[in-house]
Amino acid sequence: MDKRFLGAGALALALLGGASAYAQKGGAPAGAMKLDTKELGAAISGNEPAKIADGLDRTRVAGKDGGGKALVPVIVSRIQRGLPKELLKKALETLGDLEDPAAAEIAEQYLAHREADVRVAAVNCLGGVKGPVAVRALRGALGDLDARVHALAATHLGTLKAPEAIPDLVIALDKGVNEAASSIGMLCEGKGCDALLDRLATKPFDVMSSGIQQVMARAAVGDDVKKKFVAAVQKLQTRKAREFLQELRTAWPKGGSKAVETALDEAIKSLEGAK
Amino acid sequence: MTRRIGASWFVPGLLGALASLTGLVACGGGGGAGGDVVVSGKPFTLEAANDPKNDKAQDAALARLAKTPPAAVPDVAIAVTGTQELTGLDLASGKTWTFSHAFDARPRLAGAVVIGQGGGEVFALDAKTGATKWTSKKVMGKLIGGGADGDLTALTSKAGDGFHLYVLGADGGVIGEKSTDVELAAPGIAGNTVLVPWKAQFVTAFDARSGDQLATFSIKNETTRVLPIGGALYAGQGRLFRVDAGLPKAQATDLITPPQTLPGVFRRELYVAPQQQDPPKATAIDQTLLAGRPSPSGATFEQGKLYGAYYRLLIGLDASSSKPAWVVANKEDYIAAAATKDGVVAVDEGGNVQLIAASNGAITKTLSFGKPALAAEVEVDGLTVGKGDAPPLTKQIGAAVSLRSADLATAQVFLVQALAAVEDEDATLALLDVADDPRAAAVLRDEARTQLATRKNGADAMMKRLERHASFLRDTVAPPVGPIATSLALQGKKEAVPLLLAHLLDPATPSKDLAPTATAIATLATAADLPGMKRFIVMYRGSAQGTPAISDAVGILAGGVWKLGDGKDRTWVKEVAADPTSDVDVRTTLEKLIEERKAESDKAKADDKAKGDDKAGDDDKGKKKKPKKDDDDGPVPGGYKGKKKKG
Repeated sequence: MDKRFLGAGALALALLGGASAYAQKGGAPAGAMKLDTKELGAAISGNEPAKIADGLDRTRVAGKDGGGKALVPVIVSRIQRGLPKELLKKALETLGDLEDPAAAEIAEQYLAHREADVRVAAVNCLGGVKGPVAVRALRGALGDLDARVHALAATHLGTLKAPEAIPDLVIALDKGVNEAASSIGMLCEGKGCDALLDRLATKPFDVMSSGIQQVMARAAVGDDVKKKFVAAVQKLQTRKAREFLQELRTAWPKGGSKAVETALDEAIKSLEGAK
Repeated sequence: MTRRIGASWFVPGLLGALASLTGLVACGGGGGAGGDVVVSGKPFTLEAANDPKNDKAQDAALARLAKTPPAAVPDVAIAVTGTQELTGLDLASGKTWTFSHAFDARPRLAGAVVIGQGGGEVFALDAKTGATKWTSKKVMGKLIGGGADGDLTALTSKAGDGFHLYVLGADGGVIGEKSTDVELAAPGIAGNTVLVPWKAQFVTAFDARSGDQLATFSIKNETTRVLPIGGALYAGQGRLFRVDAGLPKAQATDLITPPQTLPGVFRRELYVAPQQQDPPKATAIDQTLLAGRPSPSGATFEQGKLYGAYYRLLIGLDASSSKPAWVVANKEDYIAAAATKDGVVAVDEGGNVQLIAASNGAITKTLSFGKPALAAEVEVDGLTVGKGDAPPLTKQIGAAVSLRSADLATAQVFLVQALAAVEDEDATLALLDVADDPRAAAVLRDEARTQLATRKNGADAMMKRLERHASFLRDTVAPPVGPIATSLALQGKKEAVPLLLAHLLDPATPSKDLAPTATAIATLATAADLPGMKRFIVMYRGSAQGTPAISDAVGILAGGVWKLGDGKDRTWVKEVAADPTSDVDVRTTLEKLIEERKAESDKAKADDKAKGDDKAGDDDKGKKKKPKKDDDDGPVPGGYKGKKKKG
């Protein structure tokens, strides 16, 4: 998902639904059949590419709650023995969907694969499996030379609630990884959010607004910090700033902070006619 | 088109013409030495060279030159410092002078004078003071070159009707002139003898005052200049020979020539054709100069040194081997230089004039024109450069190759190759720095990588470098892993294997480094390194298709696993080779490996058997025969062997 700019609808969802704008995944579809883990395990463990692919697909469809989780060790073991590239990507993606931290170490290993596609799959896997190993690995992936890999790692670090990654994310943001802005907004607290404020005037507003949205949507962030962001956006004196504040105001929950609401109203009023 | 071909000297009257045609012996005319022979035939043609008297005339002309050698030239430098400005520098006193005049071409040093042309006249200046000695509007056409000795100046020029030779007196008056349609080059003069190169293959000697044709020499090497050095006349272009009594017979052996091994970095000629240095602004010909001073003792160079400039670099070269003895990395491009008895004087575009010691490249003194120089020329005879301190060659080369300019790459590659010949660790570190510099020109970096791979020291620095990995966040790049790996393998550094494995498993390691890194690992690894080696194989056995660098590395590591591991590990390699989920490339590589190992094993078995048979035949009876091996795959751990026997 392109998180550089969320429309009003998505913004409302973000504000009402909490920090993550990501849809839930991994759940079993209603009425899914119970997996024959023995049969699937044998297929995945075997040497026939077609059967391995089919086994992975069926596991993925079943999801973590549909019995797929039981196959995590089998898939991990199969990757450890080596797989063709396409099957490897499929296996990593499947592990990501199964959201089992037990898969983090094998996914971390594959962050070293020479094919960027495989590394992308490994990063997505780590984003799914979560846990401290995943956070450590994703922080490492921020240094990957491939733009897709480090951008995706930045995104996942936000969703994995890894505030220890903020210093690295700030460096990444300064090096043009726009996805880092949103993640910093999802992770920062108090003065830690100054990294976004400090860059508001120098980075593209569309990039920085993705981070500010996250800050404004989080209940854990205090009113003072949110008001500082409102004031900083107001200071930009641009039409885009006004539109952004209006979107925030529209999506502001009825039971939300009155002080922030007032700050938004005043800022919007002061920006009337801004170009 | 009919051209006026012939000679006029003094007033070209009947007497002169008759004398020239009949080949009368000149009896000391114009101050020449007694015994001169005058050769008949049209000047600057083979008529003169083929004159039966020419052989004797040559000896006489050379004897005459030996008696009246040219005066030593002053130690001076001149520079074009503006479109109409020439600046001179007395190298002894450091004093400068300035002369303003229009220039049609670059003014030149000619012994004690500076000769230039512009504004419809030719002028001569005192080289030390810049004082105007004379001007002349009589010289026709464009000036080619000149020489001066005492009061006389010889000039050649090219006009619409052909080429001209002039001899002018102290006041600039024309003493004599000859014209021809044959191409003339820059003449030299000593005493009353003018030597004029023509067609780049001949030199004709004339009496400066009478114009008598004294002799013509056929020259084996391209000759476009005759110039005074150290009180003798030398002729040539790329190579020089001393014009003395041995010239006609011995010029080939007496040739003072740069060595054949001279790298294709600098211009290969000590001098170039005069017209190549016409532009008032220096060109690449000037910036890639080669300088050397003939030694009066024989066909070699003073101090055994040549000096080659390559833009900002000036390199002192061994005149026999062409190996660099030192290098000066300057801030500005060099545009002129002349060798002294103990060093070299070099001029850069900034107008700086450096005196550099032949022995170590120490800059013993820096003078200045006081302004930037567009083009320059230096002339030295008695100047002493002296001695000074300079860093060792390794450090000098390190500094020179660290300059980041694509223009310098050609010379830097030469220097890196020279660095490789130095065996000490400093040289290794310098090579490592160049190989590890992403801003270095690719050709330079590649050369440094090639040389680095051969080093047998510097392991600590190399392993330190291996601790660094490429990172987008940290702005770091991968070190030159392949060459480092090869060198570490040469040095037997087993402790480097984990570092090498980490790079083998780093996607930022360039493909070209995979095979040398895998080879080093397979060479150095112990059984403890097997998991890392297997990890690479597992990771890529299904992802190597179409990328030979990866499948080769897989094959190399599998060979290492086979060598280091036990029967289980070999079985594992066989399984990977047979697994349909392994890439075809990997399977083919591994199958070949397994076949080779089997062939080796079979051969070893056959050899053992043969040895056993021989032994059985030769040994005393009653000795037990060596039991047959039960495993084709080489040594088997004790426990496993026991089990197999039991089974």
